[in-house]
Amino acid sequence: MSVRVDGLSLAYRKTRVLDKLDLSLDGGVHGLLGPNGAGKTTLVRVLATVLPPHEGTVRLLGNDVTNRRERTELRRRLGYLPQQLGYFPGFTVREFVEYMAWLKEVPAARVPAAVDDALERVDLTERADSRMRTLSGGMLRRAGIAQAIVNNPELLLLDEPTAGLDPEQRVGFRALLRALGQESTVVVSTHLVEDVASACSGVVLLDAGQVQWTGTADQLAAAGVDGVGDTPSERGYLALLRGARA
Amino acid sequence: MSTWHIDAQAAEAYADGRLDDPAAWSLEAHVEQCSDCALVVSSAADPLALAQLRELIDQRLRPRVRGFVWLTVTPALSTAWLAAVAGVVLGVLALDLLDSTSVPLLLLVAPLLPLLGLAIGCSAAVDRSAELMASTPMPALQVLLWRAAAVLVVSVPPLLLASLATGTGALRWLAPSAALVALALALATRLRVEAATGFAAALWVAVTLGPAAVAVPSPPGLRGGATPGWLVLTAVSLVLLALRQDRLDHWHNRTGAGR
Repeated sequence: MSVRVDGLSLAYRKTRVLDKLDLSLDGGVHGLLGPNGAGKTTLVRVLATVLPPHEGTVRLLGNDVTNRRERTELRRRLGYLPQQLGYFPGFTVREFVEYMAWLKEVPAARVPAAVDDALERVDLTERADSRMRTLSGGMLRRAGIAQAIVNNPELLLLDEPTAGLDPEQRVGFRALLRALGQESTVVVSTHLVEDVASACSGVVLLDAGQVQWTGTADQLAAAGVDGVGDTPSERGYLALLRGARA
Repeated sequence: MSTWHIDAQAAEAYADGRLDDPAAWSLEAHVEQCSDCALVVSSAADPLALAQLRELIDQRLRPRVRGFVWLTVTPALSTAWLAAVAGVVLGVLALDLLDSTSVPLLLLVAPLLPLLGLAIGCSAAVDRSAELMASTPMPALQVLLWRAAAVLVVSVPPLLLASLATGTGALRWLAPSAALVALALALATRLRVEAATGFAAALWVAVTLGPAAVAVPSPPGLRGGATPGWLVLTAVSLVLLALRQDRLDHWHNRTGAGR
């Protein structure tokens, strides 16, 4: 099991954001859907080992995130794209991805090839020597994805990866997601139901800090046959969300 | 196995770039499988161009050792910070040279500069790559220490020069500087970096800046007897830091509950 979360709770001061959440995921691309404030980003940050859990156990790729040695081992095999990508504006795209490869302890001899490969996969090779500050929003997103995959992670966490991408890039990105899902476990948080419908094998519906529903993209589409919403997946999403809140 | 092989004429045409596309493609497909023909083609190529190509490949594949550079990538080494350090030191120096009767301003301000640099260098509010860095195997202690060192390397020399220029004993401010930075690092195992550095700065205000402001002629933190005290505080803080380094790991994300 790549992701195994039991009874995870987390609070910011007194606001409980995750409430005894249970989740098990293995292989493929999993879409994390939910309204704003559902706890998607917080969950992804816990999975990225950026936030320590307050309660419950989180085992990722067989490692307990509260154990320092296991956490370090896990981090070498992890890729993470935060919702807001932090970077040094003076770095070139290549330097940025190299820096992240170095932080992730990619062996020095492999770094140049790994960086080239990552940039190639997100279609950013031509801008490799541009400064980060000169990139458009969509390019920054792709640079962020490149750093996330530079260490060939077994667990890849992407928080809102399609924000800022135009429709053509979004279609290209979904193809990349499917390819990445072939060899690793990918968790994609998004509020765009159509991203999930076309690129994800599994769907996790999050609301009020808990997992309300899990299933396949097809099951999501089948869940709301005659409700409100413009596409089958949207109807399914809204019906499930309403059902969870009822 | 194909029975077709590449003749010298075709190889030469290919090397010169005279072969049309379909012919070039089938040649390329063939040399991938036939090492004899690959030799024929490469010997037809211009040796100079070939050497240049090898050089280029070597360059791209050569590992670039940048560990040191990467570790000191911190907002505290930005030109803005360097300019601020220079500005403060020059200002303090000018005031001290003009007025040599009261407590040297240099002594009061110097220990705060490295502390401020640490806060800037390690604060998640300033360093927006903190979120990414926190998800990597790089040990938090290593990052903090390197950054603290980078900050000290740029702020201490100008202060030393100013110290020489005004004839103020360097150890009198170096000892509290080290103690405050060490204390802030030790506190960062429990508090946010901003709060930890704030606490250390408050200590300095309490024992020196405050008394100096109300015209105490010799603030307790700067008396001759205080230096050993600062050195002890440095040592204790460093020991605490070493013992509690596990808890530095989430230094950017102390959410209150739990830890």
